[in-house]
Parts: sequence; C-alpha cells; structure tokens
Amino acid sequence: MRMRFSFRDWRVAQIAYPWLVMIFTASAVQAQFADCQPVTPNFSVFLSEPAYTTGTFQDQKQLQQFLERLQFELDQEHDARWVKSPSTDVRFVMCFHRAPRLDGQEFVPSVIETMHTRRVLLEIWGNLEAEDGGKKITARMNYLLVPLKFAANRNERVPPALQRLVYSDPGTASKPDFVELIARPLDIDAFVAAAFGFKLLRERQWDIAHQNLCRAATLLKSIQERSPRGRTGEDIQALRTFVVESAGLAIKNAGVDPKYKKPGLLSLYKPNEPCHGEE
Amino acid sequence: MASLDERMQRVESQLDRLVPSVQDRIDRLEQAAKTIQAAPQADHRGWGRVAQAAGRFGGWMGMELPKFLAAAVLLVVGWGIKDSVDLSIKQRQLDLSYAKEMQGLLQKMAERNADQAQLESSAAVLALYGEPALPLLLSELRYTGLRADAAYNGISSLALNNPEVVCDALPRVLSNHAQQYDWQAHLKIVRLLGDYDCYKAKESLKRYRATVAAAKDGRPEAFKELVRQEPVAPEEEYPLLITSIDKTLERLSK
Repeated sequence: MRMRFSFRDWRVAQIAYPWLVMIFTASAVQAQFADCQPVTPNFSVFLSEPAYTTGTFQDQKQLQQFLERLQFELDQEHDARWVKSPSTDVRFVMCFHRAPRLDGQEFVPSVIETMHTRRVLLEIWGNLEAEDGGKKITARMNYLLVPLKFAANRNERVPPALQRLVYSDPGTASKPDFVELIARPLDIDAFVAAAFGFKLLRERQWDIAHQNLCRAATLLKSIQERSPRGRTGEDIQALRTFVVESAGLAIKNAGVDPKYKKPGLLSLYKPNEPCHGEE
Repeated sequence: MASLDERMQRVESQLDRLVPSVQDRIDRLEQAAKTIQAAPQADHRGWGRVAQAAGRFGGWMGMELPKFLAAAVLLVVGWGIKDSVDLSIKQRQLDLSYAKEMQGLLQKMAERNADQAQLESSAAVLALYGEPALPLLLSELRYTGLRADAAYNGISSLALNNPEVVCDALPRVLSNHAQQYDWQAHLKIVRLLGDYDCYKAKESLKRYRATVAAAKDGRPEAFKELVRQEPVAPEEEYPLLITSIDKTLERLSK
C-alpha cells in the first residue's frame, strides 16, 4: 500500500510538471481571452479589446479609455435602430482583457454555446491602425453574430456569422477619433438587429423577431449602398437575404403556433413578402 | 558343559522354531526401510515434526511459555498498528499536499480576468489528481462562461482515467435539490453522461427528462427545485435540453 501512494504521488508530479510549465509559457505568448460577464437576463453585445499598431494607443490605460468611451456611446442608445423587446433590453458590455484573434479562433462551439445561452448577441473586436502621427486612422472591425454561429455549429444553413467591415478616416477630420469612426455608422445596429431578430426567432417571439429581422434588412441595405468590395459585399448580401427569409419564417411559424395570439400583427404580412413596406 | 557344536545346534533349532521366521522378519524390516527411504522428506517437513518440535519447545519453556506467547502477540499487533498508523499519516500528508496544490489551481481558475488558456490548463492539471479533484471540478461547473467550460474539459479528462467515479457522481447533480447549478451546467452533465457511456445513469436521466418535459409543458415547479435559475428563454432552452437528454439516452441504449 505504501508503495502505491508514493508511486501515484510521483506520477502526479511527473505529469503535472509539464502542464505547469505550459501554463506559464502559454500565458506569456498568447493574446489574452478572458471571460466577459453578460447582463442577464438582458441581451448583451460584447465590446472586446482590439489589436492595435504602435502609436495607436500609448498604453493599456488609453486602450481602456477607448473601450469605455465606445461602450458609453453605444449603450446610450441615442439612435439605436433595432426594435427593443418589451421585456428585455440590449446592453453593451466592455470586455477588457478579452482580445480574440482576428480570425476568431477562440470561438469554438462550446464557447459559442455558452455565449448563446447567456443571450450574447454579438461580439465586436478588430484591429486599429493610426498612421501619420494619428492623422489617418483605419479600423478593421469583426462582428460575430453569436446566434448565427450557434446555428452553424448545429449544421443549420446560415450565412457567415463573422462579418468584417473596414472604416478609415483619410485625415480629413481635424482630430480623427476611433470611437466616432466605429460608433457613428449604423452598421452595429444592423448586426444587432440581425442577431437579435434571429435569436428571438429561436425563442419563438414571432412579432418582435419579425420586426428586427426586417429592420436588419433595411440597415444592411444601407451598408451595401457603400459598395463594400470582395468578400465583405458577398457576406453582407448573404446576411440580408437570410434575414428576409427568416422574417418570412417568423410569419409562417406564427401562423401555426397555437400559443400565438390570433389575429396578431403578423397576419398583416405575407410570408413571401415578409418585409413589405418596411424596407 | 556342552560343546560348542551342541550349543550352535540348540540355537539354530530355536531360531528355526521362531514364528514368524527369521527370514520373514528380515524381509519385513527391509520393506519398512525401503518405505522410509522413499518418503523421507515428507516426514521431516510434516506437521508431526513441527508439533514434535513445538512440544519439545513447550517442555523446555515450561511455565515461561504463556509470557513468551503474550510478548510475541504484542509484538505482532504493535507492528501491525504501527504500519497502519504510518500509512494513515502518510495518507493525511498526501491529502493535505493535494489540497494545498489543488487550492493553488482553484485560485488560478478564480482569478479575475483569467484567460482561456489559464483556465483550461488549471482544470487539466486539476484532473490529474484523480478522484479528489472531482468535487472541485463539479463546483467550478457552477460558474458560467469560460470557467465552466474549462471545468467541463477537466471532468472529461478525469473521466478518461476514472469513468466509474465520474459516472457515479454526475447523476446526483441532476437530482440535487440544493439549487447550486444552472440548467447550462445540467446540459454539460447530460453530455458527459453520454460521452463516457454511463449506462447506470439511464434511470436518473429518464426521471430528469420527465421533469424537464413537464417544465416545457408549463409545469416548471419540479424543475425549479433543481436549478439555481430557470431558463430565461424557455421556448428555446427546454427543447435544447430535451434534445441533449434524448441524444444521451439513445447513446446509452445502444
């Protein structure tokens, strides 16, 4: 018996040592991807740390200030274009110490499922660049639509869940600002409305799902009008087609749902023209 | 006085009259000697010889024998007790050192802003401690997010080496009324039961499925007693849970 314990002890030490070494080396070389707490039961949008080039921010404190300003600006909802749920709200959450890679490698199915079941709609991060002493700024932004990624992981037919947009200020503004560059356009609203609508569709809240999906279609159209090139343009088009189809699905499903009040608002729409009069 | 010849004849005649005869007696002696020669070892090692030696020893010890026996018994019992106490102390020392080491890993998992790599590695190392780590990993499942995901991976690693221990503990979480876990943790546990072929958990799973199905049908009282917080989107989340339970039950029925 005595031998058994000492052997086990030795074995644990033998196996644990390389792992411990790995912990320290891994944390030293990898970008941090910490947890972020959503505001349940509300719906949340995560604002994660962007990567940035030298000269963009002087230190981590400046980066934190940028995220705080962005979160404040978006959370004020001065011009939020998505349709709010009567029972819950969409909140923007600042996720400091959470810096996903640009290709979103960290978002494995278990991470996505956890985010989805905690009602996270969207995660926003990217890469910020400042040139010419900060006079010319560029932001390459990633928008991960969590409910779509969750559906994709379950082999459902959905468009790309990771959407990418590039914003640049060529130096016309006297003092270019990343917060204004990212927060001013209605693109975030478009993605929030799309993710929110699709999530509500899964939660069988047909009316508000339909409204948000149609709102997303309108907002995505305005992104398309800026003529994004290459893959970005294709992905936006695929998302727009999908939200319109999903709006049609909301009408169909409401028609056969015994719990849906009849006649509801959706009885005014046709499934083949789900957003008629709203686009 | 008779002559030598006469005496010889008398002796010979007496020998001839012996029954059994001298020849017979010699034959029997030779036969007996052969038998003894054939099996000398058995006799030497037999219990008889031991008993003989013990008897001789007892006779030699006389009145001192009981004292000697008492001392010998005391010696054996003392040795045994010392060994088990020694073992018990070593076990305690080991438990203490495990607890200290595991505490360090738990603190790493609980660190604010702990990143995914740190959480995953800590849970993996925790799993190496085997059975003692299981309650800690289960406790980590109470947290949502990356911490719970890491704990799930840790329990998976543990189940690879100790499937019976894990399969025995997990169903109890599903029927526990302490309301320590969210439904998301239950979802993870249901998957683990299927992934590690916990056949004995089938009945518990069927009972749990009935509770979830009742909640989905508008009778959530029993389910509420099992979870810390009921699903915020019941129309999506109950079916998600039921689908996972059905998948696991199907797997366990193969």
